[in-house]
Parts: sequence; structure tokens; C-alpha cells
Amino acid sequence: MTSILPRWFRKFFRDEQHWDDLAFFREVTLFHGMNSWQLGRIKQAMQKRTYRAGEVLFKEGQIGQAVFIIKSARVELTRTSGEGARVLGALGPGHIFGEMALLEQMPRTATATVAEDGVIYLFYTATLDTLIRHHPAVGVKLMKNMAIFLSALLRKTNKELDQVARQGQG
Amino acid sequence: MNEGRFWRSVFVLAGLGAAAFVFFRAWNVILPFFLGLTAAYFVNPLVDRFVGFGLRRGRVVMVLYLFLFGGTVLMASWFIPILVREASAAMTEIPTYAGTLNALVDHINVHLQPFLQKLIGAHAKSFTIPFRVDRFLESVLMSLPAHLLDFAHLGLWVFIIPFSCFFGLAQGQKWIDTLFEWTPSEHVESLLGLLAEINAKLGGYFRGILLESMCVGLLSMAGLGLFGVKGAVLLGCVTGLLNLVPFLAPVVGGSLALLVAYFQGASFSLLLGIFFLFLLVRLFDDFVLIPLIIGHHVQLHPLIILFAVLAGVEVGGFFGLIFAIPVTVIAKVVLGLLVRTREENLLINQQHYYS
Repeated sequence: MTSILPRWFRKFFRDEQHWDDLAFFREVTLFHGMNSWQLGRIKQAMQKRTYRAGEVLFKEGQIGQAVFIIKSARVELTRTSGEGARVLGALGPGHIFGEMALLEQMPRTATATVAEDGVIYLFYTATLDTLIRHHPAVGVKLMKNMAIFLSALLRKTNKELDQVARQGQG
Repeated sequence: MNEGRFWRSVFVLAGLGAAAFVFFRAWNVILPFFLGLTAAYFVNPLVDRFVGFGLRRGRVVMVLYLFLFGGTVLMASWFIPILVREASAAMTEIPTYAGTLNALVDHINVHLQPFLQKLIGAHAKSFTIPFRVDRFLESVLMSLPAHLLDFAHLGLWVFIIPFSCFFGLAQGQKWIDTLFEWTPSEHVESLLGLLAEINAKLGGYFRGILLESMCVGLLSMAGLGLFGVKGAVLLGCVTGLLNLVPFLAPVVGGSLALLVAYFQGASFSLLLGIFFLFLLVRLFDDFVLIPLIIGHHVQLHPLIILFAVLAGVEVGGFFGLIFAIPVTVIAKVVLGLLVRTREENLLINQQHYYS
């Protein structure tokens, strides 16, 4: 809202919760470089839910349909193999996971369980399609950020593979 | 299937059956609330636009209602006099129309008799068209008091529909948030998927068909106006409304326009022109408006659409007709999800088997 409007008018219409949520979204990698209006559209396309510790978000092998963005919870990722369940890592506020679901509907490679109570946002693939169709500028920025995010992930994996190879040679 | 799962399925099915029973028994009571919430679903994207700027939803809805009320009053003050003028003109023309139609029926009967007598002899006399417009109108007028209660119902709807629409809009996504809080965590993703897919397909369809019907109504109105048919505004509105139901606008709207033009003494070439006008509007609708506005939102086979429309009429009358396609779309999405879930379970079972 512009400052031309009287103070009482702005106070009457302004939704404080909305601006708090937007401040959080600005810090999320996937939404970098987006203006308030674009973040507002993204926020409307997402679903919010409060999770309790122990609740399972998705299981390994399930077809991924949504990407998860943690606002205030802690989530543990585990993978089951012949030797039993192995913890891959823990994620906290601001982290994104299950992002591959936005690109392709493939089986999940790990199980996600909530370790600490909190709020998590879900962003579904069909909603992304609608968003791209109705607001292409938002869709393009989102996909560009997604490409940067995946590129960083790929660089990290290459580095780790390199280290493993060096350890093997040593 | 283990015993727990069996009883859970039984309870879920019994619950769904009871809900369906109550829904059909109380259909007349539920309908205005349902229509109000449907209207809220249409208007919601407009409210979302303002909410996206960081404005409070409730206040936005309040201001929107004030504007809508003002706009409706303005529109009504311009539009209703035209409709009333055309309707009253049509009323004064009714005796002339009735006389013309009676003369037409008499003409057919007189010319049909010699032909039938050659074919079936003395039995031909029992094969006359018994339709008399004056008697038909009299029977309609006599049955009007019985329908007065329906009008009283409609009067109540005028209050209930905007009222429930207001609350639907003011609540916004809170209904869905509550539903998600109640859903077990592992099913949230699937439920979100289902709702998002239904919303993507249905939202586009609902909003698209409204826009498409408006275009068809305006085109018919403009065409009939150019041909100089009296009552073009009324006929255009009727055609636009009929377009909400698949297949109805060109057949009923076109026939109605042809009949009205015929009664107004239109020449054969003008009648042909009106026929081609409706044909052109239909083609424009099929090849330009539908692909452009509704597009890929509803991918249903024409036979399924026809079946759904007929089944809708049988179950819910006029409103069944309007909601037949949306209900079929929802059923298609749900069925698709069930098939996907089954394939997903098979995949998980296979992975467990091989690991």
C-alpha cells in the first residue's frame, strides 16, 4: 500500500499476518527476487498445516505430488535398506524438501517424519501449473530459482563424489 | 483385508450413504446455500487478487459487496426497464401469436386430411393435431397459483444466496485449512493433490462457461438486433442462460428466435438469416470460444457429457442440468486418483518384495 493513503485507512485494511508470512517467504531460496505481489500469489497457492512430532509427511516409494517448505518444525529424512532405516539428515525452518515433485511425479527416495512440532507449507504441482498459466512471470522466476537450487545441489553432490573418489584412491 | 480395516470401510460407506440420503432428502433446503457457496467460488479469485496485496479478506469482501450492490442497482435500473418493455410487448403480442399458431395448426390439419384419407380412408379424421394455443395458455394460467409457493421460496433465496456467498468469501481458505488439520498427516499430500486438481479443472470450467455464455448471449443479441427482431435483448439473455447447459442454446434458443421472428411476420430469407446466425454463433462457440476460454479444463467425451446432462435432469431437474458436468468432472478426477493410488501401492509392494 502506498503512503498516500491515510494511516487509519491502511490500518483498517492491512493484514499483519500476511506481511509476517511474506517476510518468511523472502528468505526461502525458491522465492528469491520476487516482489510482494508475486509472493502474495505464491502464498495463496500454498497450503499450511501444523504438524506434531512423530507425524509422517510421506513414505519412501510414494509418488511425490508436493514440495514442502518448513516454517517452524524440524523434519527427519530416513531411508530404508537391507540393514534397516538410516537417517539421511534433519531439516529446519526455511528448508525445502521434496522439490523434485514439482518437476516429475516419481517415487519419493526417503521417508520424512516430523521430529519437532511446527508449521509446514505444501505447494502442489497442479497449483504450480495453474500459477504458471495465470501468472507466467511468477512461474518463470520460480522455475529459474528451482534451476539455481538444483544446480547448487548438483555441485554439492559432485563435490561429495569427488571426495569419496579421493578417499578411495588414498 | 483385516478386521479393523473391514469395519472402518463399513463405517465410512455407511457414513457416506447417510450423508447422500440427507443430501437428497433436504435438497430444497441445501440448494440456496449450495448456490451461495458456488457463487463464492466464482468470485473468490477476484477477492484473492486484493488479498494478495496484503489486505484483510473480511474488509475486502465488505467493500466488494458494497460495489456489487451499487453495480447491481445501476445495471437493474438500465436493464430491467428494457426487459420489462420487451416482456410486456411480448404479452400484448401473445393473442396475435396465438391466432397465427392456431391458423397454422388449422392449415396443417386441412392440408393433411386429403393425403391421410388416401392412405387410411375414414380413419384419417381421428388423426388431426388437437393443439389450441388459447386452451394451452388458459391451462398454464390456471396452474399458476399452485406455483406461487415456489416464487415465495425464490424470494427467500434472494436473501440466503448472497448471505452464504458472503460467509464463503470471508472464510476463504479457512475451510480447507480446517479440513487439512483433521486429515491424517500421511494423507495430506494426496488430499491436497485431489483438491488442487479439482480446483484447476473445475474453477477454469465454471468461470469459463460463464464468460462463454455471456459471449454467446451478446452475439445472439447483437445478431437478432441487426436483423430487426423485436425482443432481441430478451432472446439474447435466454440464449446466454441456455448456453450454461451443453447442447441447449443453439437448439432451444435458435428455435425460440425463429418462432418469434415467424410470428412477427418475418420473410423466409430473414428466417434463413436467423438460422444461419445461430449456426454461425454455434460454430464460433465450438471453434473459437470453447478452445480459447474453457480449453483443456474439461476433457470429457461428448457421449459422457450427453449422458451426464440427461442423468442430471433425471436426478436434480433444472439445477441437476447445470451441475451435471461439474459433478462428472469431480468424479473423473476422483476416479483418476483412485487408479493412481492403486498403481502407487502396487509399486511400493513391488519395491518391498525386491528389497
